[in-house]
Amino acid sequence: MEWKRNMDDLSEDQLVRLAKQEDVEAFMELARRYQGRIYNLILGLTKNHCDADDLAQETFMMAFKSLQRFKQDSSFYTWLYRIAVNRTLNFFKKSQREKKKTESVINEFSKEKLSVKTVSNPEKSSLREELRGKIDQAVHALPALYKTTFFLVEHEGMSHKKAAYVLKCSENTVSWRLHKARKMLQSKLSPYLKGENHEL
Amino acid sequence: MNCKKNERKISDLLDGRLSEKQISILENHISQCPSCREYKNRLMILSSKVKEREKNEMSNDYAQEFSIRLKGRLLNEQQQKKQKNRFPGFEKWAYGAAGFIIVLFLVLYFVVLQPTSIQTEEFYVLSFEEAIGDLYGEINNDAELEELFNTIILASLTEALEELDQEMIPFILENPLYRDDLSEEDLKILESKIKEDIKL
Repeated sequence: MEWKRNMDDLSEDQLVRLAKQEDVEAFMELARRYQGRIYNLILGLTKNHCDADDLAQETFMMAFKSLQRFKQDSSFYTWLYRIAVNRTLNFFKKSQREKKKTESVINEFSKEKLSVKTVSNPEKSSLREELRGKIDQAVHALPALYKTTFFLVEHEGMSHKKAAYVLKCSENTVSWRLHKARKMLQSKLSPYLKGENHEL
Repeated sequence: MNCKKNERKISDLLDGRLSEKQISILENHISQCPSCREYKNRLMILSSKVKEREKNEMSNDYAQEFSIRLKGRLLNEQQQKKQKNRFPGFEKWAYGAAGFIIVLFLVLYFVVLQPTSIQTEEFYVLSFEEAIGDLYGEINNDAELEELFNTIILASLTEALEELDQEMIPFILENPLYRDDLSEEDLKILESKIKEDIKL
């Protein structure tokens, strides 16, 4: 217990320094601090617990192996975050399932889009619930890079600058991807978004 | 103003990426353009709904189980690394030694054993007439050789005919032009053609 309290008291920098000397316990303390956030980030992108679990484990393994290359020019969490996002993007690229899933979601969605138009005066609360579900589906159906960029900025509240760092691209690219993602989403969700009143 | 171009500007406006002057021009346009106003409204609804999404939390049990698994993998990784480091550079030396042995073997093979070059035997394809002509040249007027030649030819013909209907063999041996599916008329035509060829 004494040892554990000591680890808890250490700052991120101190833990990183120890972890760089291959101190597994120090690295585990860093992992314990961020594993929930990393897992949630990946789960938000993949929408699948098993994939999120695997990718989160892989993220920490990769971080441990390449810790020597961490220059500490950003926080450990940002660096970890970057690894997680890039591993998830690689996973999307490799996985053909994503494409198939996307196609099926779009098909399913376009069918349902028609049915919404035929519903007369639906309950507002249930429509809101439905809207949230549809937004989730539509975001998940976006191409991997657009989805990830949109998720980082809109859901995670990341600035364009930070998102550009995480995604290894320019801020202009982030802005462009966001514009395209929003355009696609508003087009897919137009029957739902029309019904909502929003104070500007 | 081009409303297509404004769609990207509206996206940047939501992310706070426009200058005050740009905001003023765009807002002025939006106040007069119903389609841009609608587009901005939809994006704002979309953004607020995405931000509303609940962030899943890792349960304590799952977080603990995740840590245990990760620690196991990290310790395993470290152990493997230590085993590799027990013989530093072993792999390099092993590959180097294997390469040296191969080169040495090749040098010994070519310098000491001096293998003779493989020579391909020349062969000729003789036409039937040339082959028979040569044979007749050899036989010349030697009666013994001629008898031997005829015996061999007959033996090979018999061998070839063994697979045929036994009843047909005497007919074929007697008349090589014999064909049971040829009518008398056909045979006469054949005979006349052969006679014509001989004349030519």
